[in-house]
Amino acid sequence: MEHIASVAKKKPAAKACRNALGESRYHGLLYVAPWLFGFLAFTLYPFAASFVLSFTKFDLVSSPKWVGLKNYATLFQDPVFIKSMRVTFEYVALEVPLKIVVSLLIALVLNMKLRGINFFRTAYYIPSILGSNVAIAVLWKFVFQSNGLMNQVIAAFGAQPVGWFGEELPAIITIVLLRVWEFGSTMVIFLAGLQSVPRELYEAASVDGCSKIRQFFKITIPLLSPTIFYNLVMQLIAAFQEFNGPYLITKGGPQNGTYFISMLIYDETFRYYKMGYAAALSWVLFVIILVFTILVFRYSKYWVFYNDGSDGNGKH
Amino acid sequence: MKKLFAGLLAVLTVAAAFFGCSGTGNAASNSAETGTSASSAAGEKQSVSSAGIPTDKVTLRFEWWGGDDRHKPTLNAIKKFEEKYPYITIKGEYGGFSGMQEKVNTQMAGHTAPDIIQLNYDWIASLSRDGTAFVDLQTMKDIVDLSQWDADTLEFGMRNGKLNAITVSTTGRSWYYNKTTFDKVGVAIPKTWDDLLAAGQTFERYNKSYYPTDLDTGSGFTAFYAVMAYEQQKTGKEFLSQDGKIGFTVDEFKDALDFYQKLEKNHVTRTQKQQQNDNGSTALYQTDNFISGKVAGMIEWSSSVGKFAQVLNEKKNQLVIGDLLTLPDAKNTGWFVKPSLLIGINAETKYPKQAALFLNWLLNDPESSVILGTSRGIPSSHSALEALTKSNAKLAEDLAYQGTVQINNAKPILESPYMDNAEIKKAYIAAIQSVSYGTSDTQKAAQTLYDSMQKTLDDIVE
Repeated sequence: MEHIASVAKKKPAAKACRNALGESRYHGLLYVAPWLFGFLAFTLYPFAASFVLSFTKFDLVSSPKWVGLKNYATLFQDPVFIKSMRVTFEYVALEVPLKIVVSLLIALVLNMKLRGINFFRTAYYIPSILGSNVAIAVLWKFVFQSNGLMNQVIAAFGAQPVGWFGEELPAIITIVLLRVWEFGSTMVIFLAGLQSVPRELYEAASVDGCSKIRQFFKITIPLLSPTIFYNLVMQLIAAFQEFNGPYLITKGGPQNGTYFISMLIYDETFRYYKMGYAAALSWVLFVIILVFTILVFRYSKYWVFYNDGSDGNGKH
Repeated sequence: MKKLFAGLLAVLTVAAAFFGCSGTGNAASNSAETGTSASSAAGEKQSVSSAGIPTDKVTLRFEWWGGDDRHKPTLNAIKKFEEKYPYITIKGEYGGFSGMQEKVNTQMAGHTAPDIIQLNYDWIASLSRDGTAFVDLQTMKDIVDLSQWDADTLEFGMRNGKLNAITVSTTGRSWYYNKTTFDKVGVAIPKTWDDLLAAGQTFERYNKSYYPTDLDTGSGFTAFYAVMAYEQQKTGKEFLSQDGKIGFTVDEFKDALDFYQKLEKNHVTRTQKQQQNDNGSTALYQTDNFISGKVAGMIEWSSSVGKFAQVLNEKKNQLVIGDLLTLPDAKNTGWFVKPSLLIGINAETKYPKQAALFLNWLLNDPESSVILGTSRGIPSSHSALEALTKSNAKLAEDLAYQGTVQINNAKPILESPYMDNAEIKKAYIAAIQSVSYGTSDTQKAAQTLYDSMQKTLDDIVE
């Protein structure tokens, strides 16, 4: 035994070092080569190219002209950009919390052991499969137009009809409602998280006389906090990049009221041929999303509770 | 079992190869077709033929925009062409106008553009800066009979001395009204701006949700278009010159925006907010307000009025053309004309000759002209127009025809190629919207309009 171990220690270069299957370290690289190639060509290269382009003036037809920080200087003074950022933040502030709360509540309901619950789980998931497409946009316009379904329901309750598409906040709300309606995937993740909460905890709590609501806040939420954390981060990143909703339904809305930042990038790229400026806008958006994500991660240690008592990184 | 399967596969492969290859070298289809297209006195008789075009099976892609009234005849025309030239298959790619420019831009930039493309007037300047993005049709004179068009008309499609695309028809916006609604409300079709203002008030008294016309801030910016025509009539100046110079002063822009406010106040059109509330971003001809007759008119290009007429006819309502509204002391017509659309051949196409053959057939052939009708306006091609007039005794009743004749007879002002530019459009729309929503007074809006227009023009005018 000792003899073999000492021989093993003497083995020189990695090339000659093969594991039990006869593979060397470089075999591993070969296995990931297809993905690596795709990543380099379709993710890393465009990433780097867009960063370089953000310092140029490029109209796709002639070659890029270096302009240094001019694009960045322009965008911070552009009133359209400032408005676009403002409405994007409004949208994110409304949509992300609402979606998480709604998904969680519905997941709670669907977690119950009732007959036929699987049917309801499927039914509630379907809107998110439909995704944002033109058919849904037509449906949404029909629901929210001035004599549409929503206003008719409101009128049935005796209230004044709302001009949904004519003003900024109601228009943003229609987009928020569209995305919240597609809560399926978030809900399913919560459902999975809920199912991993041990039933004995609830039983023990009710034996001790704990009310259902207290159980929810003291047992469910803490044990579900990693899932909430995950959904929060994912939804935050997605919400900042929202494009389909405003593009199909409000086309940027009343006076740029739903002109989210991704729509501005789209217009600058495909309608005005200002690739360099659009690249600068994209990088600003990237930094903003990055900052928010880092903030959420940084403060997660205060409210996210992992089952094994660690802080999520394996440290105790 | 395996052997049987392998054998069957082998037989099928051989059979496929045998039948597939029989398309080439078919002597019968090599008959060159000569056709001397009918031409008027202007322009020498040119003979074009399909001789010299290889008869191997090819597939071409043809992209266009329009409403259903244009899609159906175009598809029928394509079918007819394929019957005549069975070795060419044309795949049609079509949709509405909204978003089409971005689509074509992306396709051209990504080298995935179709072989034959329908283009808007201002796209050629940006897609083909040096004139080489599209096949120079002057080099295709033996396939495309260029003598069918006046030199002036062909000029619209020229870029850097190269003929990038052919003007299919010229067009301008005319006033169209839902006569059925007007009769119901008891108003005559307006002839002057004052008539329109009075009509607005009568409509308001009849029913608050009824309007004589619709002026919007969508991609067609009809609200801005209308008040520009008004201001041109008032001042005798040109709003935007051919070489990209703004003709109006800030005060003149203010006057135009004041007039827009007057139109809104007199219930001539819904406010921009009301339009958004009613229909979001849906195109007017697809909205309930228009189809049910509540919004009783619009100003539309003669080359695309068909889609409006079609939806009204289905409801047994009648769309009629109205006079080009004018001021009593108008210094010029005010109203615009421009090439409605052009069709060009992508320079990167693999089969330029076959594409040219299709282009010539589509635009010049009498049969095609009858099938297409007025779905792309009144054709500028002499042979097409002749065939159309001969075949359609009721042509004089056609709204597209009436619109084109009305514009041409009015000594219209030629639209600047920069007027439709996407970035400048942003400025028009912002100006009208800020005035309509009340977020800006007309003086400030006029100044902002002038400044944004000038900034963009500085960037794009060469």
